[in-house]
Amino acid sequence: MLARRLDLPLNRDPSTRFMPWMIGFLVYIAALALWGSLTLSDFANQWAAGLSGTMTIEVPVQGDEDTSDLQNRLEETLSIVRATPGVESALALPLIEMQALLEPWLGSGADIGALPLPRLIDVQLKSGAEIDIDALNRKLESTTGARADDHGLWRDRVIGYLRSLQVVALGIVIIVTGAAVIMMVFATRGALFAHRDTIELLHLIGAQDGYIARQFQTHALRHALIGAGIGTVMAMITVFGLGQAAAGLDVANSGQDGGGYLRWLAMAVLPLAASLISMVAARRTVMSALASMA
Amino acid sequence: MIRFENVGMRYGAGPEVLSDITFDLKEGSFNFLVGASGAGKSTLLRLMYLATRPSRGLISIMDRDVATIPRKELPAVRRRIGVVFQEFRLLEHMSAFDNVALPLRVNGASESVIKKHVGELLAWVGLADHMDALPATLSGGQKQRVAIARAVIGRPSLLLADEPTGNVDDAIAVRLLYLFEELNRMGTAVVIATHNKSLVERFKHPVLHLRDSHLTTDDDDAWGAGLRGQQ
Repeated sequence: MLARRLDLPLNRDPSTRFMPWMIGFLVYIAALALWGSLTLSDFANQWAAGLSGTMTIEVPVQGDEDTSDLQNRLEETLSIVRATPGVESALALPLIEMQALLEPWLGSGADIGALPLPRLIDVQLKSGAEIDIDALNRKLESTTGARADDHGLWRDRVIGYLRSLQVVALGIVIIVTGAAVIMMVFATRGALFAHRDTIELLHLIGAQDGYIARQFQTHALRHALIGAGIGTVMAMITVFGLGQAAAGLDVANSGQDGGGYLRWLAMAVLPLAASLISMVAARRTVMSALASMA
Repeated sequence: MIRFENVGMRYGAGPEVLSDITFDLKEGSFNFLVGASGAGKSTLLRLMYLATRPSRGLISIMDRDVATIPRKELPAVRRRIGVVFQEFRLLEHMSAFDNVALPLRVNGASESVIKKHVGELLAWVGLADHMDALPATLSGGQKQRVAIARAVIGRPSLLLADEPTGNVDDAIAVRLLYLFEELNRMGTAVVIATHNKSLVERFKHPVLHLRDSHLTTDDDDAWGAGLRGQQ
């Protein structure tokens, strides 16, 4: 199709001369938005998966109880939790780790054993296991006074925010696609007007509307492939550069995991999709316009 | 082949440029169409090659009522009509070869068939050495012959020519008329719109006269009345 001879001198149209660059610019924006959307989706999934298999138990200090009483309640809580179906392991957070966590506020060398700080238990759940957090809390409240937290509220808020960002990014992709279609429609209309005499001639020598439309769609496909290719390559260079810049961050593992391959695949498909959309937009515009001609 | 019944044509709200046109041209016929400038010759030809539709009346082309031909069937009818336009209407960005090949390409012919037929036809009209030439580099007469070759490459049943000798000298005009007669002998009906009185008198074919938007025939002695103003 790309090698098809064009009867209409569409390549000489001033109205379409900058079309590849305009498509390239739009595809560049769309590619970055698409990459961002897929990256956010991966982050949301990773965080959801990372937090869904864990739980934290807090054993608060009660009144003036001493350290040994708190330790006893901690041990009892550990026993209850470890006996709960679905729990893989339950470990009390060592005081030394708590000290390290609180060092920015309390300074080094603080005796946290003398402070009324709650003790924490890190719980790992078995894969796919679901704990009835309410039932566990009722049991802990009635025995040791501990309280379980599966991070659900925080997790839902963070993931909800990420999903919102993802929707915005997808919205940008849709808006950019719409802008490209509108641009292609107007450029095609301009070309139809510029070549109306030749189009009439083609009709008079027996050309079907589809024959004339193929001239425009071939031209649109060529321009779109060039522009979309340039835009996509530029976007790939950009995300690669961003990835390199963020290489030292934990969150910068995009491209290394399974989701990264999906993102690169989406980037590769984007120029083809953009070109096809441009081609269809041009064809439909021409067919619609020709239907109103003699 | 072509039948007009009480055909009238006006552009917008203007007066009728053609009024009550009625005639019947048979298959394989050869006719001249004459009349003063502005008499409506080009409009009459445009109606014949389905470039426009009449304001009133009935037009039948190749036994098809033009008003009832579905849009998707128009190309098939148009492919049986060859047209030599007054201003040639060659595509300036295409070579002579590609201009002549256009009707075949539109019709989906293979490149091998196109190469053979177009080459033969361009040689027949004396342009074998100008196949790759762009129209801008050709003389008026050469462009005319390219336009004629494009009109006949599809072996049309009907050939319509609008002033085909208007840009050539008398010798070439006569050669072109012989060419049209040869096509006519092969079965193509021919209608030639012309101002060239000597040509019409030399080639003895029926004449349609347009005068004051109305059509008359040889018997009405309208030739003189129609062209008198131009001599």
